[in-house]
Amino acid sequence: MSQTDPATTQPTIQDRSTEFVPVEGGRDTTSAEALLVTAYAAMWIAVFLFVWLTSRRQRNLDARLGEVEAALQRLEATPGDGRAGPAGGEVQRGGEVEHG
Amino acid sequence: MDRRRLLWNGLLALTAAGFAYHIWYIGFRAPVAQLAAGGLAQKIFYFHVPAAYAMYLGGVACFLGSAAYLVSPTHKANGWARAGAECAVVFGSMVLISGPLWAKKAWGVYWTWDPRLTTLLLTVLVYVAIVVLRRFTGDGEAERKFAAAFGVLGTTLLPIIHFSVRLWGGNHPTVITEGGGGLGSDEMRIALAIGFGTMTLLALILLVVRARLAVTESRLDDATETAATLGLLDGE
Repeated sequence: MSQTDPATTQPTIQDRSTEFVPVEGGRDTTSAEALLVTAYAAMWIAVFLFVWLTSRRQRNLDARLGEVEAALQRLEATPGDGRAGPAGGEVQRGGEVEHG
Repeated sequence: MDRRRLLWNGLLALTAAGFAYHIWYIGFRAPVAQLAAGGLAQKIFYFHVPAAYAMYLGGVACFLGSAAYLVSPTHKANGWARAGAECAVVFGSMVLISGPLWAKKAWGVYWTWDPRLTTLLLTVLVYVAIVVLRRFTGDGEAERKFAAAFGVLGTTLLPIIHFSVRLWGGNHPTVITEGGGGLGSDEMRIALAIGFGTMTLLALILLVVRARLAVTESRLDDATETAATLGLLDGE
C-alpha cells in the first residue's frame, strides 16, 4: 500500500493498479450494506430478466411451430393430397415437389 | 427420464445449489475487507469478477461462432454467435451494474473514465450493437455475415480490457493478477473460487439454451419460408 496522501500526491501507475485510491472530489456517504444489497439484487434481476426473455422467445417459437404443424395437418386433410404452388408446381405429401 | 435430460437437470440443480452456497459463504464466511477496498461493499467482488469472466466466455463463444459462420455458414455457427453476444451483454451488464456500486464506496464516485472501465463499456456496447442488429434487421444472410464480422472484431477488445490496467494504469485494481497483492485470507480465495465455478456453470447453461433456441429459430424461419413459397401457409 502506498503511504502517500492520495489527495496531495499523484500515485504511480503501479500504486494505483494494486490498491483502491479515492478519486479527487468523490464523497463516500452511501452505506456499504445498501450498495451490497443493491448490487446483488440488480445482478440477479439481470439474470432473471434474461431467463424470462428466453422463455418468452421459446413460447413464441412454439406458437410459430404450431402454425406450421396446423398448416401441414390441413394439407394432409385436403382431398387430392396437395395444393398448387406459386410456380404452378404441385406439392405432394412428404414435401416432394413435382414441377408442372 | 432419458440420460441427457437427467444430466441437464442435474446441472441446473448443481448451479442453483452452488449459488445458494456461494451467497451464504460470502455473507457468513468471507471476511470484510479493509475500508480502502470498500469494507463490506468489497463483497461485491465475489460476483463482479466471475461475471466479468463469464462475459469473456460469452465473447469467446461469439467469436468462435462468428468465425465459423464466416468460414462455413451453418445454423449452428450462427446460433452460437448470437447466443455468445447475448450472454456477453447480460454478464457485461452485471459487471457494469455491480462495479459502480462498489466503486462508490471504494473510490467515492460511481464512475470514472478509467481505462478498464472505458474499454469494458465499449466492448459491452459492441455486443449490444450485435444483439440490436440481429433483433431489428432480420435474419438474412447479409445481416448474419455483418453481425459475424462485428462479433469477430468485438472480441479483439477482450484482451485490451484484460491488459488495460497494466498498460495504462488507472484506479481499477489488479488484485488477483500479476503485480497484485492477492486476497488476504483463505476464505476470500474460496469465495472467489466458488464464484468462478458457479458463474461458469450459469454461463454454459445460458449459452447452450440460447444457442439451441437460435438454431431452432433459424431452422423454423427457413422451413416457414419454404412452406410459404410452396403455398402451404396460404390463409394463415
